[in-house]
Amino acid sequence: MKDWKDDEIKKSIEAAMPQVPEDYALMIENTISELKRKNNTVSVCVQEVKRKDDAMADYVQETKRITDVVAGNIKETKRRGIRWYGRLAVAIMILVAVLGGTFTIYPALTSEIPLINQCVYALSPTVEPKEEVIEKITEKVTEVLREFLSGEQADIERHLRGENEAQDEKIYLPIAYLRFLCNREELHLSDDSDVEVQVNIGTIETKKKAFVYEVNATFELISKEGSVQTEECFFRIIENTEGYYVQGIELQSEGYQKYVEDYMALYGEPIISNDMPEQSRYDNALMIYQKSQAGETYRFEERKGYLQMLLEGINASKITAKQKERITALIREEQRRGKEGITEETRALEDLASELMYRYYQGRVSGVVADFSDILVRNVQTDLFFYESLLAAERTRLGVLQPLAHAEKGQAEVLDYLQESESEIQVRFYVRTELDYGVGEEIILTFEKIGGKYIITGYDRAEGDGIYLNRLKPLAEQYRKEGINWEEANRLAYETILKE
Amino acid sequence: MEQRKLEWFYNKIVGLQTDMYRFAYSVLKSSDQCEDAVHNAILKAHDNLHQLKNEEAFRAWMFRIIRNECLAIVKKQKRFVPLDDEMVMQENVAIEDRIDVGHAVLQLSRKYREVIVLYYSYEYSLAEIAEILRISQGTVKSRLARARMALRRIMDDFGKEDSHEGLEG
Repeated sequence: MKDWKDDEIKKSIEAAMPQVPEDYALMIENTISELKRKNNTVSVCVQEVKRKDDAMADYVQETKRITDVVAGNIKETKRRGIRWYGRLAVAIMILVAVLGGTFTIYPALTSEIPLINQCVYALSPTVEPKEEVIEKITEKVTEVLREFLSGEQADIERHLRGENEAQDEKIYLPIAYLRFLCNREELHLSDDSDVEVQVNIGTIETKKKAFVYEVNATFELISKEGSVQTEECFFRIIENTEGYYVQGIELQSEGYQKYVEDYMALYGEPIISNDMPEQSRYDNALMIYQKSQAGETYRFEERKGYLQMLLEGINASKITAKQKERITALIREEQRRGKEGITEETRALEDLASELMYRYYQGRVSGVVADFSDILVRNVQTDLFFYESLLAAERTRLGVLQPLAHAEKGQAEVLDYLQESESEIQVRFYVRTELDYGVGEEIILTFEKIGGKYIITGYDRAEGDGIYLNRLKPLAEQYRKEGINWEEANRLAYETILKE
Repeated sequence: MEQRKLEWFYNKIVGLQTDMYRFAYSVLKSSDQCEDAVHNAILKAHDNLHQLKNEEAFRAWMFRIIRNECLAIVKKQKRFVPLDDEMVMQENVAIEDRIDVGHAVLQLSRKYREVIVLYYSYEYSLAEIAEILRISQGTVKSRLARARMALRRIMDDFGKEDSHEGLEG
């Protein structure tokens, strides 16, 4: 960047941006037309509301006239000597008028008075709150989310209202889900992780009806590593004389729906405790660990971290009986897998996978492709791996790639057993090799047991970018479609890339 | 909403349409989704126009909404964005030769790309970028610095790197 001036960078970025599509301007025009139509409709509705307001004003005037007539009658009655009935009626009418006026202007006063709060709520229109109220609601929502994410039980409770609010599963599951999003980060493998999850409110829409605020908010959870999770949330907030409190919360995302499904599959019903943060730690660890046992991909250090937490927690005082039962079942399953020799075979296969990639990277160190013949059979399933290795070594030798200073064999971890038969087994691995800065990648290997030991008979990559998936394999496939046999097609693909 | 403000809003949208598209592209890196993001952002901005207190800050405000809509689109596609941003950066290394800085910028991970585009292409100040991205100015500075380093590395490598040079902490 030191060779580039700011305006040169600006021009270069603008040149790199794609052209705006031809129909884009039309989309903008149509969107604006759509908004103009919507505004016209709103104007019509506003006029209708005004008409009703005017009608209400007439009604109030008529009521006053009737009240004056009644007062006049009362005066007459009083004059005739029946005083105390009249005075009582006037007093009641004044009281009702004052209360009605007060509750209309300050509905928050009624929020916790049974029956009256229902009447006030039913009779109140839905309106947009004032700017300063929206600001307070936004602050409240931000504060509440932060406490839900990382606060203690007491901190959470002080924001809640409603019956058994702390134990209501409708409150617990959203909180547990938000912590689930954060907890994965917390137990992630970053060595210097000191997770701090930032909450940023994106958009917020608030409607007010009496003392109830219905709030739709989008917010971002941003971890220290910079990953972002956006969620949409609905809050029901009530206002009373002491402030604003959350009465209900609903999350809208597919992620949350999936989380609830998984949670119900684990326990069958929501379990409520008096310590939601502590409970959610175990619930989330259990859910993630069970998924890893069922074959879902999690990193080795992550699984180890969760397992350790569960083992330490099994005798914790705050753990529930159902949680303890689940953890025990999980540990038994781990022991069963160990006993049946799966671990030994897994270790052998993992060792081969890490050896393969270590030798591959030796080519990036020396510029000479390694010998794989003792661990890998060259055939139609592995031929492209040879060319991938050859390309890495040749391009290093030719100076296209910078040579690595060193490479050390790292660790491989089985992510999934894909296929298994009597003679063959196909496994997806996560392999880490220690280079100048370390690298981790996923590969798929097929093994046969030949002469009492395993040998690699198939190689592929699962996903990701890189020369194998983006260039070598598609080119070879293209040549094959042109009628060339696989050996020739693979060689041609290698030569094409080498010449570039 | 008063008619004067609405007309002002429509005119602003028309004037800003190219910038909005390009900014959405710098976040999403997908032309197909840019139009959706911009369309949704315009609707959102219209519904929340009453929250805009300073008309001069309209562009920054609009960019913030566009960014949120882009992230909503990204979120719908996958549950988690990759946790290791360095790995994401490496995944985006192009296969074709890219030596000019503009294309190198497009290879950066989203969080670096955003700050570079906002700083150089739209010439926002650090404070304005912090406001758009809802981060502190210190974070903007450090991301700019790291983005510049990442750009140097991409341009040094000429863009035609093997994916095995992925970075992991």
